[in-house]
Amino acid sequence: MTRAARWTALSRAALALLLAWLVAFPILMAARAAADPTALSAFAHRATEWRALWGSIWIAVASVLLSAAIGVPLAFLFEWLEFPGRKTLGALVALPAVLPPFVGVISFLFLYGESGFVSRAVQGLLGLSQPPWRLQGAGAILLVHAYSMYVYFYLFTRAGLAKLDASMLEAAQVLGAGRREVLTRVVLPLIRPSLAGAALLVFMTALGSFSAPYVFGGGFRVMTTQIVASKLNGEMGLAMVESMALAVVALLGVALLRRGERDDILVALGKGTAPRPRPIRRPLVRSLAAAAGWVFAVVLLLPHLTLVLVSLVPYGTWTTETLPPVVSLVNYHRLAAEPERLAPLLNSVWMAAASTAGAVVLALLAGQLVGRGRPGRWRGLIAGLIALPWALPGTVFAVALALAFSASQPPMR
Amino acid sequence: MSYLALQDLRVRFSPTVEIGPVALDIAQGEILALLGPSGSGKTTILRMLAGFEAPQGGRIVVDGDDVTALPPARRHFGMVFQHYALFPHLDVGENVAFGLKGDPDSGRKAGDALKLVDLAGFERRKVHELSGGQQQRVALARALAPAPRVLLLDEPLSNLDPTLRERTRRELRALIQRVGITTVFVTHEQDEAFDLGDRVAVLQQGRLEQVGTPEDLYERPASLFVATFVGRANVLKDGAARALGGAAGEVLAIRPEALRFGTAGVAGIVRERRYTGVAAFYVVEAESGERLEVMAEPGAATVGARVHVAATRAFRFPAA
Repeated sequence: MTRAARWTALSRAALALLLAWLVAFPILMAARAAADPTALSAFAHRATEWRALWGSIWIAVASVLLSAAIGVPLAFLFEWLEFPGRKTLGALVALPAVLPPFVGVISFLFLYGESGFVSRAVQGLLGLSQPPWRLQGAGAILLVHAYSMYVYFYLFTRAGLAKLDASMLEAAQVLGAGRREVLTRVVLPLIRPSLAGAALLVFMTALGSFSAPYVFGGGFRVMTTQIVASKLNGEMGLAMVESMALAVVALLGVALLRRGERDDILVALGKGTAPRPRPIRRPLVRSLAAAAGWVFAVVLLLPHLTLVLVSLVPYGTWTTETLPPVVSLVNYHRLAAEPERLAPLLNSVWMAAASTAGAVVLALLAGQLVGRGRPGRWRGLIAGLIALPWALPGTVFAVALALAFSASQPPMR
Repeated sequence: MSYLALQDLRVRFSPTVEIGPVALDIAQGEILALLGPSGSGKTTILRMLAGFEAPQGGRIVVDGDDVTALPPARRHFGMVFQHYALFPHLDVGENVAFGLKGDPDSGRKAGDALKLVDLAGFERRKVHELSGGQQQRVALARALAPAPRVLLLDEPLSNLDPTLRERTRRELRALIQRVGITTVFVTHEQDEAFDLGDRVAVLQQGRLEQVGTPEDLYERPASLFVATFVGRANVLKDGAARALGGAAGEVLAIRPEALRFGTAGVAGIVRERRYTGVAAFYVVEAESGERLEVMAEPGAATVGARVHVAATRAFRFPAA
């Protein structure tokens, strides 16, 4: 063994140990805590637990379907048709990707909640004495999920479409395939890896989603809210069992969807140029496409606009009016002037920066040591440990970390 | 009697870029090459034939049937793309059978098509496991399986190894002739056009310069462009042209083999000699400054020698 090889092997072992401590140890701790007969039997015998687990699963699956139903057609509209405003709108529509989940939920509350803009407008329009709906339960969660997660399907499908080889679609046409057949026999099979990738992301995000069920769930429980509730009730063992149950579902989902994603050959052959956006010739269809694009963009951007507007409303000036009567920058002034208001923002920023830096260092190290085309004994182990926190819902990993490392909650009882 | 007719086909992309009008009559079973440099419009014409580009004027008629307004799917043409465009999610058999959907006999026909290109038994192979030459033949089988009326080939050999190209060219020609299908193909290489095509249409900047057999183009070029693009030619004007028999206002195009060393003609010095076996190419710098390429016997002259060059044959074109 040369010196360089020995050095590499040593670094790999060190990295594997570090990851084992950071990732495997907390999960094992959580698993050990979950292997508690009383907690297990409590989980098994309570109907609410099973209902919450089932709720998590079907909400995640339904979120995938709804997000696909919005994101995929939108991707085709913006990638394949040429109409006025295509580029700008196409970029705007991807904006929910930059909205933190909890902020998105808050903006929904202001928009579609019982006293939100839309509900008040509908109430006023129809002359109702009650708000027209309550934003609550599974439907509300699904609405928020679909709204914030279609972006994955939108971006992945667009990327998949942009990678297509135009001559493949032309080949299908020459061979007698009509527009629908080209779509079903060529385009969809070819972008399947993109669709599977998006489905995986949405499934994982929806499964681990906490803020939407927490704020809008009402009596409807999913596993993430159940874990937190158990923890707050002091039933730490039960919380661990719940975490493990959710983790198993997540890992099964990853295993299942990963199989659809793995298809490198589909890109390996592509050599040609991507299809150009097709200009729409008929003026009526052209205007319709442009209008659809605008409507989509406005509806999808309303939550963002709502946030901006609400941030401009001074405290206590807005009570029963449909739209706020006063807008000013006073909130921003206070944010800048009062240190205790600025602190949370600064905390968020430095925590984000610090975790990004840590992630970059870890990822670069791992990439350098076990990246593509570098066989080695530690490779599989390190890659697995790196993927694990991603494959687990955030709540599960957070509970495991708290159990393992929290100073106020010693791991051993 | 023409089987495939392009009647004054034209399309304009911008005020300065216009293709056509192009008129071509292609007989049944004929192989026609569209030859031209890049930007000459040859690919656009092929794409209009396939139905991917809509012409702004003119008609495309196949066997008395006007297909100008038909979408690609309803023209019953076959096409082989430059990068083959095989479907990577389907195996070889499924690729070849793609255009046979709804045909109860599709399995047998796909098998026959594969046999035709010498790939019998390759049905279950993955497309990406094939070599470039095999992929090209699968693409050909896929195009031929539905028995199209016309076969279109877009630079069919450009993706192959140069060593493989010449053999594939001969095999391709034999195959097309065996099937007897009317074929139009695009190329920017003269060798390929001459070897594969019964006739060659030379295009430049969207205009059809000349259509004819390889002999026609080489022996009787219709324009200075054809004379220089097809084969090699020395282009001479003014004094040098007059010294070799040109009249005032004429440009001469003279093939290297139509120049010979002698005692009269243009005087100059041999600057280079390139030996090719049967003959040698000499570069002669004339006293007036022109450089002439002369093909002659390997021992006809030495570098540095003072020589006279005379023309045995010259193509005459009016000076632009």
